[in-house]
Amino acid sequence: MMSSKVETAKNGLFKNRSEFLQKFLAFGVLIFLCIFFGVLTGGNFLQIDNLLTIALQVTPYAILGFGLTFVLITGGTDLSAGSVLGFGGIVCAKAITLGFSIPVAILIGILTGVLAGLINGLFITKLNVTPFIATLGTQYAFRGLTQLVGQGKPVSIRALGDEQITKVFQFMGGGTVFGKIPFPTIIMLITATILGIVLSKTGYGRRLFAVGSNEEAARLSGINVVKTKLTAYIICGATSAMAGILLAARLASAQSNAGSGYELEGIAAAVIGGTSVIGGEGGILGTVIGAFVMGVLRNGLNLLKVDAFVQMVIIGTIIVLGVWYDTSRRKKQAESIKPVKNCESSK
Amino acid sequence: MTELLRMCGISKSFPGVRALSNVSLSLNAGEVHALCGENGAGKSTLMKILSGVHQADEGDIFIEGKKVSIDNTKKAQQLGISIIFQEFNLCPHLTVADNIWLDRQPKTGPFVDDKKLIEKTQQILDELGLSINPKALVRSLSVAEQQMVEIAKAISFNSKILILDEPTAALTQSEIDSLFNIIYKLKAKGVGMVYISHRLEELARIADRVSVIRDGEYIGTYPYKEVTIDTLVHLMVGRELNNKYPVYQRKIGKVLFEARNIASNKVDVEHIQVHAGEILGIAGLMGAGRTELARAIFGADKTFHKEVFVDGKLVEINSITSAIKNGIGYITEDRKKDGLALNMTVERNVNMAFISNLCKKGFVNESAAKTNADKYINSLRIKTPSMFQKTRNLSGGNQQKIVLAKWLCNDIKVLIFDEPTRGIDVGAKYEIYELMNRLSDNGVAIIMISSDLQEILGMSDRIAVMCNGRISGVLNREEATQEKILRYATGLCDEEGKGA
Repeated sequence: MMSSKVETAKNGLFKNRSEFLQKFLAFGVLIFLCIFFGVLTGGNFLQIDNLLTIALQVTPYAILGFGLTFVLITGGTDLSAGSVLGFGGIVCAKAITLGFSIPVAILIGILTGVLAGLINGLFITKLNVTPFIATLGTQYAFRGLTQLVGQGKPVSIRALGDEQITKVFQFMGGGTVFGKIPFPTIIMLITATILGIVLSKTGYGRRLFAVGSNEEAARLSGINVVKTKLTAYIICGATSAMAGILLAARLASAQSNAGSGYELEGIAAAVIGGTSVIGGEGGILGTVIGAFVMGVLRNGLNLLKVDAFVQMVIIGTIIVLGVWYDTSRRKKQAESIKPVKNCESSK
Repeated sequence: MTELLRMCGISKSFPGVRALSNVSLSLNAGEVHALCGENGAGKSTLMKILSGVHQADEGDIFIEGKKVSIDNTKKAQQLGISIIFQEFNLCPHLTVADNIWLDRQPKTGPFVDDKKLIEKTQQILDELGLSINPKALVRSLSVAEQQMVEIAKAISFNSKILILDEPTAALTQSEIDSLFNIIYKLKAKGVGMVYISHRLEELARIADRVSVIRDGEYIGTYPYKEVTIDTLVHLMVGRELNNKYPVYQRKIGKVLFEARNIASNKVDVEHIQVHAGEILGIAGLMGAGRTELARAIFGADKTFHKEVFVDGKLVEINSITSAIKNGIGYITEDRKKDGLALNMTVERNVNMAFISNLCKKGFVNESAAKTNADKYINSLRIKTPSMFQKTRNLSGGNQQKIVLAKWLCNDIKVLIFDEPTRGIDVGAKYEIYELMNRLSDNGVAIIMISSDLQEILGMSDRIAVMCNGRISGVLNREEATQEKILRYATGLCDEEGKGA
């Protein structure tokens, strides 16, 4: 019969050609942009220091994007991710100023995100509010809670007056290891690895894709759709809070407006990396690449002294073009249905 | 008789595939021209060329003797060609009138003239003898009524050529009758119709001529009266199918599945039981509650009350998970809508209901997953270039086998098939029937819901007929006839309280 083993070996890392093409394209764009800016800035862009700065800058967007990738794969969205980022960050900072140790404070911050994600997920799965509306509402609510915790002001760790704690906290947010590598970037890469494995190697990952691809089919196959979706929103809440904590740590101060608008950056990163906004497709590696594409664009345009407003126009255009390309590719793929006769020859 | 349409030497290739080569078709005014061929033979491609969705690589199209080029769907519409697809192109949230006159509503100034709109709609509906309210929302109509709206829309364009793609696939017997009445009316009006269908029995009632295509090649055109179903099938598949249903002696064992007092909003069934190795057919008209009964048994819908026994033991089934755990599987009627994740690979779909068994500490054992998928691809003869092919790219028959594989992975005792062969071509149907027989041989209790009476009669050991959410009668294989089933299904006779 069919020699599916040969196929497996041939495909290796990627399950099919289009998946490979997608990753390759996003990666190709990234390389192209690096060379493009490298040439235009006379090599300044490609200096190690600058590249590491980019890595540090994209870290919060990337981490936020990981959680959003999970949510997008279910076919949902989370517009409250930016607010949860601010909320998690400020709760963590507040916990430190109240005298909790740093690890405990981080845990409290992340739990805040988990709780926020749980609330989003319950609205969506149990009360059947569409994700867009549910998280639009919680975007306001969580931002309000953030402001309430900080009483409209930033929560500063420095105000605590403990040099040691400030130093440790700041290291988490902007310190370097192995020479010049930013610590948060390491955290980001570790998170990417873990979540990437969850997505591609675990039963949960399979269920998530199944739910996103056809929710009813998944349900009728005995998959617990509510639990699967709820978990995705919880992961999104947790990664949002994580990004918020790292951002607060860098400044040793949690801003009450931190992360406002970041959810769109995170969604853009995921989408550029090949995650489908209608669900069922996506991956963490793509989101990492997508976040870097955004970061490289911003940094390169800065180095070229392009006006900030013009930058927004350029980045916005690139997102739309990227998604347009992706949608048209998918459409073409769906139309090129191969009849069975082709298959018989492979017997 | 005037010739409306002539398509000559049509060829069309898609990247890597020759979909049509040198196909011809002609259509007279007032004629129903049946177009037959297996799935993937090229019927739909030919019709898409006629309706302007695709353009032919070679060949000419003449309409009323004049050579035309159909560059887009708009052009086809102007030429009086309308196509009614299997999936309707209606806006469910709009009214019947708005759908029919979409973007062509009569206006006074910039405003839609509602009165005139309703009037014009009513006129068309009357012409077709339809009792549909022009102001009704399309989503509130039944599938059959929605199809009528599609036909009314085609008439509103003054279409002379109407293409019907599998119009009866989702209809019940009485709905088919009323569809045919409309087709007779259109014939009398001089409309020419190309009629695509897998249900060869019903063609005899309406078709004047039949054309057969096989693997993109034109086989021939015959006056319908001069061909038998057997020759047609032979022409379509290119080989002799001796029997539509495999002859099989079933070994029926003890009662494997039994349910009492299944009550929900739509179902009220007192008793149903299926033996090991038995196929219980469930017949009935659309809306009789057959699918609802299946979903209730499977734990997919809430029920007020039910007692289920599997293998003699009382089990509680309050969720899909508990149904699967107790060995009950359900193959849904619409595999594209709720049976398969079309954008996912064959392997992922086969293993979808089996994931937890493939996991160790949450991680999927990939090689076990591949072995499992490979096993079912081989044993069910699923034709796919690789297990990593997207299911979207497979034919209906192969997709149906994947849904079946999904349940065979689990140690299934009771399997519910809902319309197992809808939209599947003759050859693949036979294979599905053989697989059902193999399952029954292994002692699986099968419940088969079908709107195809031939299928019900050909495959079932016993037949339960449903009407208004209740089982109105049970027939043995020997005593069952189409007429008897229909009498029970329409509620003409009702053995109240009788269980299956």
